[in-house]
Amino acid sequence: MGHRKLLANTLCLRVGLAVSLLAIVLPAEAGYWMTPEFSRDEERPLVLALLPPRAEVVQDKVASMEQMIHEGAKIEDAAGVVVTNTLTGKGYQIRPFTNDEINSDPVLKDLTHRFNERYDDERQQILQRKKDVRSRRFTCGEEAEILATKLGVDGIVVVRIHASGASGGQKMMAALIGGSSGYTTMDVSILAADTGDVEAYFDGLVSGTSDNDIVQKPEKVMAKVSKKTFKKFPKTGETVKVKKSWPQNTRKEPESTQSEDEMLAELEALLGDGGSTGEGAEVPADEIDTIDETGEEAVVTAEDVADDEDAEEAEEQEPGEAAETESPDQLTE
Amino acid sequence: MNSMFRYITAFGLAILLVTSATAATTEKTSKQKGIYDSVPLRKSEYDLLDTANEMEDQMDRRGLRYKDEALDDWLMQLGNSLAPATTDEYQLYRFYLLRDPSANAFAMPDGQIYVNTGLLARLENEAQLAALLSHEINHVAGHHGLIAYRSQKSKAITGLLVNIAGAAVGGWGGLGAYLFNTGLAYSIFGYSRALEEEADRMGYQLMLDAGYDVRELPKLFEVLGQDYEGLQPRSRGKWSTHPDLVIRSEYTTALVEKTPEDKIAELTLGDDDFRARVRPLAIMAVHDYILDHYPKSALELAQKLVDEAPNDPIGYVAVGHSLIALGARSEFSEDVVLTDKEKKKQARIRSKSTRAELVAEAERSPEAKANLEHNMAEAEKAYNTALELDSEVAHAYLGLGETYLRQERYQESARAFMQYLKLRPDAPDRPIVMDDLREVTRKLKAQQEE
Repeated sequence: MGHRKLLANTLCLRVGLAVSLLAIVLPAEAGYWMTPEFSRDEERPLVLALLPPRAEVVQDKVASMEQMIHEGAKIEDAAGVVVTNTLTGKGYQIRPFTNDEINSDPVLKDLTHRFNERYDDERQQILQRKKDVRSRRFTCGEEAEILATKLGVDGIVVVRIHASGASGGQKMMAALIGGSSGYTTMDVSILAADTGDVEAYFDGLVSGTSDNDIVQKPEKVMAKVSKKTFKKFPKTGETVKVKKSWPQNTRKEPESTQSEDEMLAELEALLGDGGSTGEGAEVPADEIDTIDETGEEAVVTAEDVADDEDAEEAEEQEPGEAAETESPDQLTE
Repeated sequence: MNSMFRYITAFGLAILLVTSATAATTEKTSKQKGIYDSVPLRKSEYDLLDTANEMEDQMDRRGLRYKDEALDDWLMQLGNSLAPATTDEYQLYRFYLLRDPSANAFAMPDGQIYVNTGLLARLENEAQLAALLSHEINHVAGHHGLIAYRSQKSKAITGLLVNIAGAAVGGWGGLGAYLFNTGLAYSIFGYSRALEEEADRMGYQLMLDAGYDVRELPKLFEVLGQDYEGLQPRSRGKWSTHPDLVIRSEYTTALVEKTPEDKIAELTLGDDDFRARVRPLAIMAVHDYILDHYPKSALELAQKLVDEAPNDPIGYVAVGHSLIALGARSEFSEDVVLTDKEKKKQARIRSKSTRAELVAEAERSPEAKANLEHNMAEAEKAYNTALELDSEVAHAYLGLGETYLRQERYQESARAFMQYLKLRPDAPDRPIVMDDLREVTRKLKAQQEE
């Protein structure tokens, strides 16, 4: 009896261990994590730029893993179409951008490069603790804000895909002695344009992907994984229940609702004529003001800044002119 | 049935081990001769070459390549002047720059060679670049990618069969298979290190033949070993694909010492304008270091740019931006030597923290306040020097605005930000500056109310 009990316990332990290991190795089939404000549809971004999805695709053979770059490009194209259609179907206004569009504009290319670098860095953290999206732990900050402004949207959609297409031999091997028989994952982040914060993160997994599926039916592979990924993505106007145990308010209230012009006018008044604003410190004009050819200081006022803005609007600019005059470098922190 | 399975497994394993041993012997003979024979592709390897070619398109499509026509041409010319004639039709040397601040370069079996902008920005002279390219060229000429691929593949199959055999035998068989596979994996890394050493040694010869000063080869490893952030342990373990940089420096120094002095006297460092040629790229690399949150590396490179051209305001702006990014942390100091354990700990913390958390962590340190004060004062000096050289450098105003903001000098901050917008009304980062101006306005208002 004792021997049987020990055997039963060992068996339970083994099954338990196997289940735990599986849980560690494979993510759940689909998951979603949102900030409470996104869940409750408070200032949820509606006009979204979809950056070109990025896919890493490998062929899982018995003795090696080989990259499928050409097929990966097809998967990326298919993902772009399916994500656009899915989100449009849910009521969002999607502006998909292609690699060609981005690469043809040097400034946009630079901003997108910077954004992707920052996002992939942040994504490493998201993958470790997805639930922290709820507490607004992840942000791409200025990189997202600047890019979104350039694209004229109020949010950015970023899609990453990983597909491992099992070869026939690998599938057979998996059936015989275990191992992967192929899978596809997709993860999608929505970032707010005004803060750069990751507002929502969704992922989905489809198992059993074969290398043939990837080569011959990339659209189908993407449709399947996208269906899982976007299963819980709320439609515009739809709210998702925020559990009591989750953070309830994570977004900092905007400290000012002033327009740019109002703010600049107020700032002008505050700066006054040299130090009437409390500190009494005269601004060292030789340090920060331009000096014209006559040697007279040309102190910049808020009005100048606003005037320039108006002038810029009035001026008809040739397409691409800004791209040539702007330098891509900028302050990042 | 079970015994038949074991028999088949054992037979298959024996064939594979013999094949691996034969392959290893052939490679050794080639190396001893110092000549690389043609290595025809096997049918199963056509895909590998297709993938390498597709990688070239992918780099382009994703906008990862740094493109500058003059620099690209120069790199291509330099690379081709070092490269020996190809031995196989699938090889064609192409040299590209990759926009990545990390100190790295790599080669593909079909002849594509990529140099990261972050590494090129740090090299002192053309001879060091020639050393780097010679190393990578040798990986291509020696078919290292292909040989390593074959070796790994045969080891993977061997490991798989041993696993099956272990499972079939049962009992201690599983443990035996595990140990065997660990040994196999270990041998893959060992083999990789051997190929790296071969590329270093043969690269030396390519450099010498092309007339570049081979004394720069060991110095290249010093550049590669620069670790301003304190994240890379000095000693590499047995599970590393590359030999320890100190060891690489030692054996290449030994090679250099054997070079006849009259031969050394004929060698050159190459293009005198090397640093000027790579300067725009190096400035971008500073910004990329800042973006990737490596402020100490950014500052070291920016200071180098100032030293090289003290009359160029852009160098000072780069220094200022790096100091702002450094924030509450201290500058890199050669006096502070971290142990491998401390570096590993720092790397672990970094891998588990967001950017904001790393900044917040630095701000909690006892030295944070003093560091911040010092860095902002230095940044202010750098920006003002830039403006003395050229009062129209918009980014110096932007930096000053940020510096004053952190120093709580709100009036000056406001004026500097506004000057920036005046000079660059269409700046892509206008919304960020506007946010800063909003903050400054709030602070000024609060001060006035007090």
